[in-house]
Amino acid sequence: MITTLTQSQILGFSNVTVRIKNEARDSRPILEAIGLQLERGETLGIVGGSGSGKSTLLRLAAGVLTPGLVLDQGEVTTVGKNLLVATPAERSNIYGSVVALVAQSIGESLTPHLTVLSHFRDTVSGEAVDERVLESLAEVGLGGEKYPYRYPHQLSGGERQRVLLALALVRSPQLLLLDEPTSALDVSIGSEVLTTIDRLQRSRGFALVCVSHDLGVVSQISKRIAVMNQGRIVELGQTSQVLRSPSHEYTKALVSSIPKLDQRIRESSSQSNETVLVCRGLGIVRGQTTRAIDSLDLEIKQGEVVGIIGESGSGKSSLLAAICGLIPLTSGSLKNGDGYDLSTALHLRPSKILSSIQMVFQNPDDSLNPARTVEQSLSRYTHATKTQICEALNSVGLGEEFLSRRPREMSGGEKQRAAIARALLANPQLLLLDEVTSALDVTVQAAVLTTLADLQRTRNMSIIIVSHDIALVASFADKIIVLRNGKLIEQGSVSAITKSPADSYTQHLMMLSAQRSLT
Amino acid sequence: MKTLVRFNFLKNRALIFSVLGFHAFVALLAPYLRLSSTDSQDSAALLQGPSLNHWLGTDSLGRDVFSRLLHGGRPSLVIAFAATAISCLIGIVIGSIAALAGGWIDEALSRVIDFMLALPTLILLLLISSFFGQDPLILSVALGLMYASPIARVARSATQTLLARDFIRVARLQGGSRISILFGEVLPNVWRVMFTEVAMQFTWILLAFSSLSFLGLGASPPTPEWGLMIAESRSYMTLNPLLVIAPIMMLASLVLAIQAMVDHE
Repeated sequence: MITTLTQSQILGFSNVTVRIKNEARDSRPILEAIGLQLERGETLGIVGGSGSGKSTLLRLAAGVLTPGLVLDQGEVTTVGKNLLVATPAERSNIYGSVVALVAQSIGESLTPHLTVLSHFRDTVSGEAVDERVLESLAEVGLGGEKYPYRYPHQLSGGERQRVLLALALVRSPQLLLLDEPTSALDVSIGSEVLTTIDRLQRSRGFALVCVSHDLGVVSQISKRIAVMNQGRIVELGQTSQVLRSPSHEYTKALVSSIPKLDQRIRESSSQSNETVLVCRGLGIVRGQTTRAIDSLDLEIKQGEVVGIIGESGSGKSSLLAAICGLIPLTSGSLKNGDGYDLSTALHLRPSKILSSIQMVFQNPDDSLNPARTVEQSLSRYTHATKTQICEALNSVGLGEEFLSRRPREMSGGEKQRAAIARALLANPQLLLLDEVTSALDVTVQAAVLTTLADLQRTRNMSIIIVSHDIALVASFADKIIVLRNGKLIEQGSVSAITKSPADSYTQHLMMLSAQRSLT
Repeated sequence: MKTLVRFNFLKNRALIFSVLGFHAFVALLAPYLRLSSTDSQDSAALLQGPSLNHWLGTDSLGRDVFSRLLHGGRPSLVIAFAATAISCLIGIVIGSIAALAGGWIDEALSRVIDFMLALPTLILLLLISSFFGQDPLILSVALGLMYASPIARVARSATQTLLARDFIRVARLQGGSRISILFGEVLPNVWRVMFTEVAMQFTWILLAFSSLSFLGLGASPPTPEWGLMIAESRSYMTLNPLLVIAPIMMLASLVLAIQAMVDHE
């Protein structure tokens, strides 16, 4: 079946199915029967978890089939051309002037030894190149004489994303494709980039397709939303309608999994007056002179859950690493509830002190030794018996069959659960969670957080949770600490910080978070 | 349109493994095959071409080339295995200690590695061999020491990458000592990365020893050894080309097959 686009349409998918090359026909395809039309000037957001096929779909719209995949059936059409059968000449004609793609990894998308201006020389030709480049850079908020002559390493993440945007838009495409435009950026910088994209879309009137795992990002710049799960579009509709009254089960789960500022994941539990950690005037210097943490005072009670928020570079991770002893303090004191000095090097601590503070890290792929089975990883340093390991695995929702699995046979969520189980086997008083869910899909994140909330209640552990997601921290913690450039800006109960922040920086963070939330 | 299928010898799995299998079979079983003796000289039949009695002909002393060829890989292989094992042991230990210790120890060990890398291997080997004689044990140790530095370098960077990973941090938090982290977490993973490097080293050592024999300071006559066989028959190449071509083919096919196998992994 060949479908041609009507005058008003810019992109069409008709019954597109994509499979892994040489895989059996009854296996689940990467994309299954995708049908989608995009009008000129329309904005569409695509959301879905990892492996849902959303990036494959976006690349197909740009006329690229990811290597290793084959188009089983269907057609992808852009302004009257079936992109997949277009000749290279036709394709390079379409690319840039009709369709432009901004890929995900902003770190790798610019050539390190070329200046910003040189990047444009491949794309733009003809007269007055420099003027046109300056103009398009100014449009994305990089006005002035200095930017064209900078090299990629002299640009911040947000600036790189803006350069990529200018590169994509310089030939005035009719359709702009964005792959996770903000996933590598801080909340505040990401929000500024989204505002720029929104402004440009309104003034230039190009059609826009934006792929993201984050419903908040997508809803900010698109009128329609497609929800993808396991290679299918399970729901497609107006943004406000999809968010307010999702009809498909997966969409419902997705919407309800997103942490919200005013919705608790964990009920506050009773706290004793016993302290588990006291720091006074804590200072950490990393490298030669960088002050990661500057004279910080903090006290944590038993059973208390403290959340730390702040931008990247605020010292969140350094603070956690210092508390558990992975990096040394430069000044101040750090003691546990019994007065034991926690500035002692790890290998000099008695094992009881060692196991009382445990940490779970951000990247689940990195947390387990790839050469070991789960049982070996969990028992090696904790010396736990098989029964104890099974119990710990059960408490994080993993069955006995995981004992013999190796990390490569597990999903990200499963690996992170196993890492949590390993921390629990040490029986810690204080558990440090460093962005433990940021590598996981939203629905998986919600399940892991629920598990952690249960464990906290039954064991009455103290927890310090660090996340870039303010809503997540607010819905999980009892108390919030705001860090900026290594300094404690503000601390208080969750409701105090979220509802009536005193400091202007905290107010700014809360405003951004509210902007991202879906209501 | 007809698709052209190019037959790539270096990517053909079956071919690579049958060549390796052939070499393994010959090297292990040569003494048990009913071959003519490698040393018996037939003064009536010098420098003959291929015949039923001597499949690849005879050399300048009337010895059977085919039999010598099949035995000729054994000395180099034994020494290459021993030297590779020694270089692995030294290289991985030094490399991972350098990475694990950091600071001035790392700095000092790294300079030693650089110094070893800067030495001209073959000339040094010639020196050692002319001082200490052609003892296989001394040659293995010398080769092992000399080829330890590239392994140490790869092991050091592999360990450094590993040390930055979270499961090492967790091991430290859960009370793992440096030694237990080295043996339990680091080395098993370093080994996975090292396999390629080690297999390549093996082929270099094999070639180095054959070169040494060719120069007359490796295997000593009348031992059948490929490098030595090439050297001995050089002057008679025009009379019986097989004398030189056959050992070269054996050496080249073995080295190529090992390297192709490594690429395949």
